[in-house]
Formats: sequence, structure tokens, C-alpha cells
Amino acid sequence: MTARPLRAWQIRLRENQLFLALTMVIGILAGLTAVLFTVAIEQTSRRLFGLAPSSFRLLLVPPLMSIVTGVLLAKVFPDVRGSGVPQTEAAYQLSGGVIPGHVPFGKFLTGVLCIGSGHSMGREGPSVQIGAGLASVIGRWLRLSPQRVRDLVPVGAAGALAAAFNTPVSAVVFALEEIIGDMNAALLGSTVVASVAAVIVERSILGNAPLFRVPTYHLVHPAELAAYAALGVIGGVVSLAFCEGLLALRALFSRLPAPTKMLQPALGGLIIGGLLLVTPAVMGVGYEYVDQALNGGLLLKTMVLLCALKIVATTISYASGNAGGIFAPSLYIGAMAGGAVGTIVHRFAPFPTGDTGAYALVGMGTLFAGIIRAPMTSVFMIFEITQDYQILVPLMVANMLSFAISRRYQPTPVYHALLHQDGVYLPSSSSPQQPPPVSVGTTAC
Amino acid sequence: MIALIAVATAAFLLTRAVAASTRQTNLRDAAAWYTQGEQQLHAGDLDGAIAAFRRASVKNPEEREYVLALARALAAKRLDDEARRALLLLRESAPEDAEINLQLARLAADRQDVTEALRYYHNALYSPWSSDQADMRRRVRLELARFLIAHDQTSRAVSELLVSSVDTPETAAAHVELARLFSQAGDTRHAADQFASALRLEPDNGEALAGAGGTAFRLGDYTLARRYLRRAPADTNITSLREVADLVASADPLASRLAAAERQRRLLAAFRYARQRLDACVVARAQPDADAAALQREAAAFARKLRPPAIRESETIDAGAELAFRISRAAAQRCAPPTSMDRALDLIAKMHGADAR
Repeated sequence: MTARPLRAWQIRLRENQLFLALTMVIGILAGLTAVLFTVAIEQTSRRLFGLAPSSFRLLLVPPLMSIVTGVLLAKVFPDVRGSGVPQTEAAYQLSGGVIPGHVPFGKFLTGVLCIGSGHSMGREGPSVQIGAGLASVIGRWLRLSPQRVRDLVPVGAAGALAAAFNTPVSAVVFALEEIIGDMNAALLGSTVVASVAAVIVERSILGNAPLFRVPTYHLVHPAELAAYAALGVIGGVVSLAFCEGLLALRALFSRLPAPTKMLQPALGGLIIGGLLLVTPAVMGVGYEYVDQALNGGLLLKTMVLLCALKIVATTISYASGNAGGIFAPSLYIGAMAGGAVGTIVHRFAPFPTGDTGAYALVGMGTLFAGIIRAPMTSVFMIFEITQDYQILVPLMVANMLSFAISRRYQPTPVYHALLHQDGVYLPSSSSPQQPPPVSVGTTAC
Repeated sequence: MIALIAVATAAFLLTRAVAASTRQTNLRDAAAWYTQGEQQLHAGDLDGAIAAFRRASVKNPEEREYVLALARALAAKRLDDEARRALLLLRESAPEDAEINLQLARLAADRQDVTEALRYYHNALYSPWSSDQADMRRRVRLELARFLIAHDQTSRAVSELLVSSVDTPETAAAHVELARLFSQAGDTRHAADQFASALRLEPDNGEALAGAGGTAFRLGDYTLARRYLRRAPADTNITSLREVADLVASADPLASRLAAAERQRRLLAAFRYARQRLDACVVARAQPDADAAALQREAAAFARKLRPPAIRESETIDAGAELAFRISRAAAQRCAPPTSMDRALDLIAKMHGADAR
């Protein structure tokens, strides 16, 4: 080996090592922001609603706070509405990973206010955008090459998601499957490093307590697989209903006159306030009720009602332009749908069946596969939550059916369809017509 | 890079501080929900209590008292599955916690799952208990014994009761409780010992006197039974037992150390009673009964021997008593219910092994 190639090889090696170290730091920072985001939502909610919220607060907090966020989202941070996952995908695939510096800050602020004020939205999508935005800003601040800046986006996203949901493996799979769109991506190592670093940070701060108390899973009778298949079909139909409802309502809001854009979140907030009066169980992230469904603590009619109301609440919160994701609501809806199916099976099946909690658990993965259209992530996620191999077969049966039904009747995944509504078309997105790519700076999903 | 690490360190410290503050808020909220749940429980609002305990255990899932309170409230509401799941999750972090195992045992007992109930009862009993919980542990053992008796596992129940008898407090009530359980488990001897212990502490304890009389009666010590039963507060059962015990003691023609005249008198009385009882029975039934007729003929033939000098012979006494027992038993079988004298003669026959003949 001559001197010049050796030196080039050494420089490349050093660059790779530096990049790996940087991914670790970004993982830590993304994890910290995700934890801070979670804690800030909790504190905001506690301060706005108190220990036991009165009807007055339930009705008025969402619209009043949405007036503030409406102004912020219309005037200051117009590109941080909605989930954050489609924007991150668009930034990665269309803008070379460039996410403006105000985006992570704006997403943090508006996300905390929207979710903390009771809007039925999730914290994972915003965490992904905050983590990815932070990574992009750091990459540009360190004057990395455009390719390296782009590569840092899924790294930050994986770190943030790992910390937000306490599932490091599925965070990596999600980054590959959803953000990059390639399970064989060369960034596997970096995302793993970031994800692990983020989870270590998250657990060192919040402890090792699991997100959900998960029941022990047993496939009691082989015929139960048919019941899980039925759950997959129902999950597919519910996923379709959710996605179509969300897209239709969002299209409706977007057709309203432009000057109303600032007030649309408040209108959504008013409706959410009314829903919270009916049942506060659809408020915010709602993992407390997912936990109850997983542990058989909800009646059949309650689960059916919460499933329907959560769909309504989430579509209103999201379509009216608030900042928050659909990751957690899809799990919530899935847990309720699965729990309801499990209760019916438990009651009427002519063969012995497992606990309703097991169906709620599979239902979570099923709706995630149907709505988010990330079937591998959903399988890994539920597997990570349960740490039980036995659940894999029924989970895959239900997930694949839900995914197939959802894809058959709504070919464009919801994140891509949301981008399409804003005139953004990703190279990988399936669509009959693909107008020229639009800069991510204009997206507001 | 160094700047980034510095930022990360600062962010870590900030996040940890905020998270700690949130944690403190959650702990306070959990305590407030728990207090509210307790109040609602006392006010009889079980649904409200469950909701409050549930919130308390969500806010602070590591506090076992909150989860236990939730499990107890759920069990009271008959939501056993959810209660069980909550306890099992709690048990994962504290498998040797006596209270958790006890609650799980009670849930299993409620759904008649003997195997699981026994496992958790034993886990609870063999868990570390503090010295001030000795009585609680004894009570759990008695609860287990009751469960075993209810499921016909009497030998296991006796084992538990024997262990429990070692640390029974020196009060009449405790001994009486233990004695009753021994008695229900079919261990009359140990039951009698416990009743006797109770009477040593409280000689006039009515429950102990009745129990001691009953156990002495079952053990065949009718003299002792009479002594206890005479002092016990009268009720239908005690009166009946006392009457039979008196008859056994006063009507036995085969009793040892009797004067000849008294033995003959008792034999004649028993024989006369048995014949009259059978005759009355045959008349009352008004149906042909070959066996009864044969017994009547045998009695009539034997009655001729019941005069001096034959009645003085021990063979005659033995044969006469044996025939009286047989006739009495036949009459009692045909004309139930048996009278006190029927029962007394039957017991006398058993005492002397005459029933085997």
C-alpha cells in the first residue's frame, strides 16, 4: 500500500469513527429530548387539568390552549403541524436531510401544549421529528458533508423513538422501514448505536418500569388463530376507517378559507373539549387506558365506545392542524378493538381461549400495521413489549391481514397520503400521479 | 464534539431534574388518589374506590400498598381476573411478599382452584413475617385449614392445625377456635385436648364445655361427657347428647363393677324396652315383616330364661343384652328416627363389641 491511499484510508477511518461517536451523542441528545418531551407533556397536563379535572376545565382547556397553539402554528412554526413522521421522511428523501433549526424547537413547544392540553394525539411522531431535526441541525453545525447530514436524520429519529417508546429494536426497524424505506440500509449500525444510547439515557432517568403491564401470553387452543385472523380483518377495517376519516376531515379543514387556519386548532379543541366531557379517557396519549385494556380492566361496551371515540377525537385533533402524532392513538384504538374482540371470543368461542389482554396486545400491533403500514415495526414492537416468542405467530397472522386489507383499499400509506394533501410526493410513495417534488419546508402534515 | 458532549451533559442534568420533579408530583398525586380511594371505600363507593386506586397505582406503580388496595377492591367487586393480574405483576418484583401471596391465594380459593390456592397459601405462610405479625400468620394458617376442610383435604388440614397449635395464644377463644377446626377435620382427640386447654383457662366457658362434652362423647368417654354437658349451656343438641350420655351411663347391663341385682335390673329394663319398641313398631307399620316376626319369637323364647336361676348366669346376661341390642337396632331401622334409648343401646353395644356379633 503506497503512502497516499494509506493516508486516505486513515482519514476515512477517522471520519467513520467520528461519525459513529457523533451518532452516539445524537442518540443521547435525541433520547434526552424525547424524555423531556414526555415529562413536559405530563407536567403541562397536570398543571392545566389538576388532579381531578372539573367539567369546566375539560371543556375549556383544549380550545383556549389551541388558540395559543393556533397562532404559533400559523405564524411562527407553520411546518410543525401534525405528526412529524411524514415531514421527517420528506426531509430525508427530498431535502437532503435539511430540517430548519426552528422545527425541533417549535415541535417541542407546540407538541407539549397540544398534547398536554388534552388533544388526542401521540408523542412518538413529534419525538421523531424533534430527534431528526436535532440531528440535522447538529450535522450542519459541525459542517458535515450533505450525505452525512442526511444520514443523521434517521439516526436522530431512531434515538428519539427508542426513548419515547422504550423499544430500541423497533425504533431501529421503524427508522429503516418508514424513514429510510429500505430494510437493508447501510445506516443500520448508526441507528442501532443511537437507539441503544437513547434507551440507556431514558432508563437512567425514568427507570426500568415498562410502559405497559403486559399479561402473560398463551395460545390456549390452535383454533384461536382463527380468532386472531378475525381480529386482523377487523383491525384492517378499523384502520381503513381511521385513515379515510382522517384524510377526509383534513381535506375538509384545508378547504376552509385561509384566514381561518389560525383558528382551526381552536375549533378542533372545542370539539375535543366536548368529547372530554363525555369521557376523559380519550384525553392525550391515553396509555393508562391501554394498560387497563391489556389487563382486562375494561368492559366490552367501554372498549367499543373508547375505540370509536378515540378515532373521532384523533381525527379531529389531527385534521384541525394541531401538533401531535397518530402512533399512540393507533395503539390505543388497537388495544380497544383487540380487547373488544377478545372479550367476544372469550365469551362465545366453543374452545378455550386466552385472556382478553392478549387480544388487546395483538390488536395494538394490528392497528399499527394497518394505519402506520409498518408491519415489521409492529411485530418487533409488540415482541419487545411482551418479550414473548409465543405471541409472534398470532401477531403476524393478524398484522398481515390488517396490513393487506388496509393496503388493498387504500394503496397510499397514511403518512404519504398526508404529504400528498400538501402537494409533497416522495420518490418511494405509490401514487398514480407524482408531481415534481416540493421542498420539505412547505409541508405541514 | 467537546461542545456537544458538554451540551449533552447539561441536557442530561436538566432532564433528570425535570423528571425528578415530575416524579415527585406523581408520587403526591398517587398518595392523594390513594387517600381518596380509601375514603370512597369506607363510604361504600366501590367503583369510585377502584378508579382512585387505579390512578394511584398508575401514578406510582412501585408502591405495593396501592396495587394491593386496588386488587382488594377489584376482588370485592368480583373482578377477580383483573385483581389477579395486578397481583401477579406485583409479585414479579416481590415473589416472597406474604400479603401478595395471600391475596392471590384468596382469589384462587374463591374460584375453587385448590392447587393454586394451596401454592399461594404456602408461599404466604413461608414468607418472611415480622415478629409483630405472628398472630396474622397464625390466622392465615387457620384460613388455609378451613379451606382444606371445605375441600375434604382433612389430613392436610390437621397438619396445618397441628403446626398452628404450637403458637396458639393462651386464650380460651383461640383454643376453642382451634378445637372446632380439629373437630371439623375429624381429629377428635386433638379437638378434645384444645377444648380441655380452653377449660383450663376459663373453666366456665360455655362453648368449651359443650365442645369438650361433644368430643368426650365421640371418644366414648360418656362419664366425662356427662360431666361437661351438665355444665354446658342447654340447647337442643346439648340436651339430646346429655340424655344419651346419661342413658349410656345408667342403662348399660354389661358395665363393670355392677352389683348382680343392678345388672339384672338393667338387663330386664333394656330387654323390656327393646321388645316393646319392636312390637309397637310392627303394629305401626302394619305390614308383614318376617324378620321382625322371627325376632319377636326369639325374644318371647328368651324371655323365659330371664328368671332365676338362669338370669344369674353370665352367659344369660351376655346373650340377653346382645338380643336386646339387636332388637333395638332392628326397631330403630324400621321405625326411624331412633330414640335416645335406641342410640344409647347402640352405643353400649359398640362399647362392648356386641355389634360385631
